[in-house]
Amino acid sequence: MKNRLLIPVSLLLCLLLLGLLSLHGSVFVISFPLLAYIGGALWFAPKETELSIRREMSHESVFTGTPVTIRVNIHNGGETVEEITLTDVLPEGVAVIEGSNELITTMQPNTDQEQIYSIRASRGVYTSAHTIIKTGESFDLFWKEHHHTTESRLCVKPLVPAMKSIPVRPPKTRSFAGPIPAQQGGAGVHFYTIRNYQPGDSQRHINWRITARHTHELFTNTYQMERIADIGLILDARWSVYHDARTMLFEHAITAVAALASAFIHDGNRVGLLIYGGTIQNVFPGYGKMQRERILKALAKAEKGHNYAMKNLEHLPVRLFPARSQIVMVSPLAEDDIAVLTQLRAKGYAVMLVCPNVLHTDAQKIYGRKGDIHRRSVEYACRLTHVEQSLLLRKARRAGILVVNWYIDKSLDHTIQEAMLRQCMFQRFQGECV
Amino acid sequence: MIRIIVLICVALSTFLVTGVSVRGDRWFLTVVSLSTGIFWVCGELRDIKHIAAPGMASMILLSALLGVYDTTPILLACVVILALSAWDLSRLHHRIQHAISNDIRLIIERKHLLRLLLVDCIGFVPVLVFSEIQFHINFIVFFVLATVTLVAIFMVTKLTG
Repeated sequence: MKNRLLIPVSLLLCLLLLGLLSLHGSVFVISFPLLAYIGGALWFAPKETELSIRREMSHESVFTGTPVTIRVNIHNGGETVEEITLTDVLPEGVAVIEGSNELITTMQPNTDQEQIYSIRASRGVYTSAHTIIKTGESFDLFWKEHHHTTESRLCVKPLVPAMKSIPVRPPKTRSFAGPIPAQQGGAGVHFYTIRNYQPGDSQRHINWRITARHTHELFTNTYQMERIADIGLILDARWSVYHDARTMLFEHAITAVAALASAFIHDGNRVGLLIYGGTIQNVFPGYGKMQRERILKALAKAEKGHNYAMKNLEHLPVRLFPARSQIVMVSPLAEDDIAVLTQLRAKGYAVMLVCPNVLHTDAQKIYGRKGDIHRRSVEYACRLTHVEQSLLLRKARRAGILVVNWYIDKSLDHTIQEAMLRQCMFQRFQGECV
Repeated sequence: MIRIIVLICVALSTFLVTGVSVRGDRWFLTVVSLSTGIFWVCGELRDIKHIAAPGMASMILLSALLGVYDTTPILLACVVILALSAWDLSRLHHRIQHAISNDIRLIIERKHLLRLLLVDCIGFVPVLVFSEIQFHINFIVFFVLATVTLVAIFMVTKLTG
């Protein structure tokens, strides 16, 4: 029995029982209004209806935070329906920002009603919409429920923060012109080396200063060719590295991948994506806006997952990326992962590791919750974690990996530029900087 | 409008139960009815959704208790009808908050009020009739009638629910 009917029926039972026990006619008599009420509701109970639903969305693919307007049109092809309650069930992560996803109306035969409301959804792909239609009489004691599922697809892509060009230096570049110095002499703007003059060299490229030091010899400046490169982005989606409570860290990792992909594609590079978690999802390398869209859609679907076969990075399918290309991995990193990344370096890949870090943010949250009493213990815990992380990242740096330790409250762009500058200074110190 | 009618119904039912209790010098019932009424009115004013059900149940049970003390059934039936109407309209008020437009809301409200009035009248007529007729039925007949009614209600609710 439904809850709504339970109250009047229970009261009716109570009155009848009390009447029986006390044998007072007036107690029986006052149960008539209740009986009439239930009888009235029963008399007007809803009959079979012929309702159809059409659902439209203003956008099919949006960025996180963008409002989406939903129109639900309901058509009554049968008899008059006294009261219709239409509830558009919203999946987890979707919030109504304007209007209401619930509608109450009354409908005459062959009429339409439209419900319009706006939602804001978090990252994800929402494939079907579930609508519950309740038709009932006006006392709301007896009603019929219809469930309606509409196939609609809403892809909410992650936000893409703006980033400057990232000056990566992979060992191998492609043959098309681009922004990355190719470590080969040719047409370009960056100085590469000096060589003897060869017939056909432009006079503008003769290095007169060096030539003046030698007799009967001419020297020419050569410039470094600038080419595009293959960039392989790897998003670490293993459950074990994010843990249960650190959902936001995964979202930050996705934002970082989206920003990096966008920046690399904007520079004209060929970018591919690999999501390594419960399953392996990959987007084959490609160029241009369509590729950016493909990557963002793959990121919209990305979820953390657990798989014993992919517990560590041993089975990372790096063959998906061309040899000696640039690999950018976004991962909070586990201790066992360093060996695999070192192997990648040994195979000739240029590896960049973006490590999202929530240590400061978590510590501040704990301070806020616990107050000053536990401040010291939290400080010790933070310090230990920091030391542990620093040691891990230092191991990675020693293997020749460009490590970007990104504190999520800071700008990723700024952090990457800082890390690249630091690496350049380090290489210059070793006499390697190009 | 619905809200005002709810408040009037609650106030009137409280007034009737309290008045009958005071007249019969039943101070405990007076205090209970008065406090129930005040709680219910406050709940309605603060838009608490689930206050109406316990309010109605208390009022009807109080009227049943007063029925045991030989109070006029017409008065008690008035209390039951008022409490029932208040509960029903309070639910309606909360239910139609998301109505598509004011016009639809007005149509639903008007239709509902008319139907409620009709049902209340239908419920009140037997009270009037039976209060004028003195009837004596023994316990067994009462028991059989009550059981048949209950079974019928359960069957109907099971079929339609």
